[in-house]
Amino acid sequence: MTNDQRETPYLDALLRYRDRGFTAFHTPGHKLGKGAPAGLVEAVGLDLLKVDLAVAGAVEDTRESTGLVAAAERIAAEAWGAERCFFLVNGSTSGVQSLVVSLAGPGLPIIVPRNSHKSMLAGLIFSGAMPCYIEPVIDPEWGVPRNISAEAAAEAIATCGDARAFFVTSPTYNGFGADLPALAGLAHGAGMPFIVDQAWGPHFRFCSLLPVDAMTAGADAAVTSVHKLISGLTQSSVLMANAGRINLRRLAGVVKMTQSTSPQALIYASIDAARMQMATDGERLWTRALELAERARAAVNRIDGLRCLGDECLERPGIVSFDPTRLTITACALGHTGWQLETVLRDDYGIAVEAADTLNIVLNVTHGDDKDDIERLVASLEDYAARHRAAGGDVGAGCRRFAARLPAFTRQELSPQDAFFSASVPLPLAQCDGRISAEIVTPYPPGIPVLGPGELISPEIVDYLTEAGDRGLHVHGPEDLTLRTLRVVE
Amino acid sequence: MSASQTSDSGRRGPGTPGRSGGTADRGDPRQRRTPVLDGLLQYRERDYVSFHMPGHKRGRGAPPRLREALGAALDVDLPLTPGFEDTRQRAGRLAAAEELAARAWDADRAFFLTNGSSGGLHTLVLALAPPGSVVVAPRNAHVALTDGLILSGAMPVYLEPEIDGEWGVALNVPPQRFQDALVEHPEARAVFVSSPSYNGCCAHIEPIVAAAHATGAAVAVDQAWGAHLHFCSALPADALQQGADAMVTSVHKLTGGVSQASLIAAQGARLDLARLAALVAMLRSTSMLVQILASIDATRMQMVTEGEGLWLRALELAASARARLDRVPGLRCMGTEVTGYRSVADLDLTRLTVSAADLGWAGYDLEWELRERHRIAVESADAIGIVMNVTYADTPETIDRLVTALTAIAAEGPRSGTTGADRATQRLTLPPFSRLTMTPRAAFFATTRTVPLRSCVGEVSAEVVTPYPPGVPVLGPGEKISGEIVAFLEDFKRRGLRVHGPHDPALDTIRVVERPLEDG
Repeated sequence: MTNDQRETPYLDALLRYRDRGFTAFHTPGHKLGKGAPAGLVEAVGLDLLKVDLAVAGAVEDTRESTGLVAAAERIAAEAWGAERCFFLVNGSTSGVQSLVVSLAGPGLPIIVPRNSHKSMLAGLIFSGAMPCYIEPVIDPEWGVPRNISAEAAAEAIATCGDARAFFVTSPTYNGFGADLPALAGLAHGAGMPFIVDQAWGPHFRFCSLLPVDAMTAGADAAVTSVHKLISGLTQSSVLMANAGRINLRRLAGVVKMTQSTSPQALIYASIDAARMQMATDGERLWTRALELAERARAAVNRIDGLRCLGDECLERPGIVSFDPTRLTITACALGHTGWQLETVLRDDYGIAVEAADTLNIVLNVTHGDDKDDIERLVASLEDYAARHRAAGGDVGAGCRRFAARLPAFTRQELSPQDAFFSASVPLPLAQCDGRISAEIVTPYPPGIPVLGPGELISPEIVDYLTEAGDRGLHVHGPEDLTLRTLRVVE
Repeated sequence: MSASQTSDSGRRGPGTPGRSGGTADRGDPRQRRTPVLDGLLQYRERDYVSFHMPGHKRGRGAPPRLREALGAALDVDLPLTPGFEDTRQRAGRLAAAEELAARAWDADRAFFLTNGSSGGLHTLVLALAPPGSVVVAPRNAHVALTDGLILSGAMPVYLEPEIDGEWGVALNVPPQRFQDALVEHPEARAVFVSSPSYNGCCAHIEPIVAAAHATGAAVAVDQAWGAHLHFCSALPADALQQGADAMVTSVHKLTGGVSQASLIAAQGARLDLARLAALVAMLRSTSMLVQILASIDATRMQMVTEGEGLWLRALELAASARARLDRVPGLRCMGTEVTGYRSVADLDLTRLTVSAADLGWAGYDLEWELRERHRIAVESADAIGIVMNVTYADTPETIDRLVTALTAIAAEGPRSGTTGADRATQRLTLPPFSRLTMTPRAAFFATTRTVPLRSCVGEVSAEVVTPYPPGVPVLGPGEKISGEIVAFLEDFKRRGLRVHGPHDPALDTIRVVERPLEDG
């Protein structure tokens, strides 16, 4: 190692500024908290406001950049195993967009999984690229997408051989990992850069018991959220990249375009500190988190009426690794949706979960948890199950059948960019057959779009969305969330 | 009518009837609500066990020195998801807070942004200037506007701002130049205005709006430095009050937001608000920092309910600083004389642009001196002057400390031994910028090569080159490089001045277009 991973140059500079006690005539207007509204001081505390600084002029020297961010990024690049690392202050969203925009211009094809994060679609709209979608299989038992199999990847490369890049999301939201070394080999064999949206895997590289990380597996670039599972502030992410198949100069230019020119010094400092913590102590911290998660999983699976997804998933096609620190739990057997379970946990037991949909809840176990948290979770779920077991009735099975019956992707008639910027009009759903969608419609579950901008609307899709609207299925994306109308290209 | 009269009529003294925005809602009890901030406080009070993002779990897992730096803030670092509010109405609190903000700024819609006004400008450019369209914009617009054009693929028609040679800063673009451009380019769909400028100079927005609306173009204002304008009658007028269709403003720059807190306010008459909303959703992170959102919410409440008094106080403090600094021999402070320019309608007097160039001080050195010897941190510095913000967070003590320090520096007499501010730099004449031969997008994504500066004549630039002073680009992506521009840059280099933008800041080489990006 050439860098000392114990160092935190950016955090140090921030604290140095604070400790010198400057009189501020710079942004922000609250001036180190003195003018902040009382409610804000109460909520976030004066400590934060005292280090809420503009990057230039306060933390850095205005005469010449002392390269603090660059220094912190260099150490982080080494920690995550990449040639370059960019600190992102606008979340992994901005990282995915930067990669799409810098890798593919108007009309150029890229291979992307259909269950990509929504930032992928925004990237396609900004770049003008044409997506070649790989459709992941939906796991019939849990109603969530599995990952991309090597067979599906090979097929996509065969049909879209001129693609400028191959994107994959790994791990998925529920912790399913793709066969990254195999996919990297396939992409590279076809001369395509291999890019991984590793938003949910910032910890992988730092603990030998966790799945292999994207850069080790041969990715040319990866985006990971520092805030999701490790110690960064919300919105903190990093983008890692290797030269060779990627034009780093162009990427750097686009990354700069997607970030505020008044970046939050606190977000930079939190990335710096989180990297230090993982590089120096990650193995121990995540070994403990894994123990806690396995204890929770085993206990939940002993509760009559509840089930927690575990590594039995590894035998299913498209799933070659699993992050056990993600807990996906269902109470379908007790007749409860994920939303009901989430509400009960929140209101009756004071437990806040990561996400809920009609089927499941998802919880994160991290190095920030301790034994007491896990015991409280398990005791709460036991108590809940005991109280509600009598309620009975398997409404969950209906949801599951519904989620598994996603209509087939039709075809991309216009690029997402052309469709988005076209004149469009809202039409009653029943009249949309044969039209081109101007918007995205993603039902949860399974969190895979049924429609994206530029896609042909089939009768099957109209039927599906009619039923989804009647059932009140939760959708993201369209202007009319009740699905009575869809916006189509005019 | 003289320029100063224009300025006087534009300024609304306390008690002046008319468009004194904010006042309409000042008595509205709903404006005391802070839905996002309340959600944060409620989460903390209920003391949830967190099984959600972020991984530090309310700070417990964070490294100790990060905890030391951020304190209680980690305890309320939350996603806008379960715990914060009902999952099925996850936009509930944010939407309510945005609606209150829309009302506060007298707009049809408002959007909270957590990626700064840069993100807001990208959004507005994409919303108003889609691929293939033409947009009129000032040459000295913030770099985020060019970035937005690179993302959207629109073609800009740039207008030159007036430049004050003494201060070496760009002012605004005179309204006549907008009117002429709209006659020449009736196809333009959108007009962008930057106002106030970095030094607080406000543009004549009303005539620009009138000209644009007459040809069917919408007007968007980069009002990054004007979040406070709507809330105090003694400050220059707000962009929306002058008829603009949309504006983006930095809630963090001069008011109570934390860094990266910004806001778009827009009217629906000429803008497709649904498309704008879709673009906002695409460009903001799906994991927004809730402390930023809460700070926008709390600041809106503070400005509506107390803004008038708070900013009157800030204006008084700034006036006392100006009066004292003007008496110190060798120091100069930019004042209302700038309203004598055709492009300047008004000056935000809370922004202090100060120079000790007459004593041989470069702004950079003055900033260093204030920082290292007097522990005073300024907003920015260039070769000539320094810029400082006075806000309602200042007190007579902070102002006194600033004035005392500057007085002490000036009392040491003329600076010797160094060149200080090279007076000649103030008389730099910018070369005329050349026409675009392709869109900024086509040039940015082109195949490029690096060429020595002196061999660049006739090539098309792939990058932005902005000399400071005065902070106006001489080259942008897609623009032909003239002999005049090369000569200017060589001269600029010789004087040891700085440029922003190019990959080679030393300017030995420029990156030029070899083969532009082609569609398909």
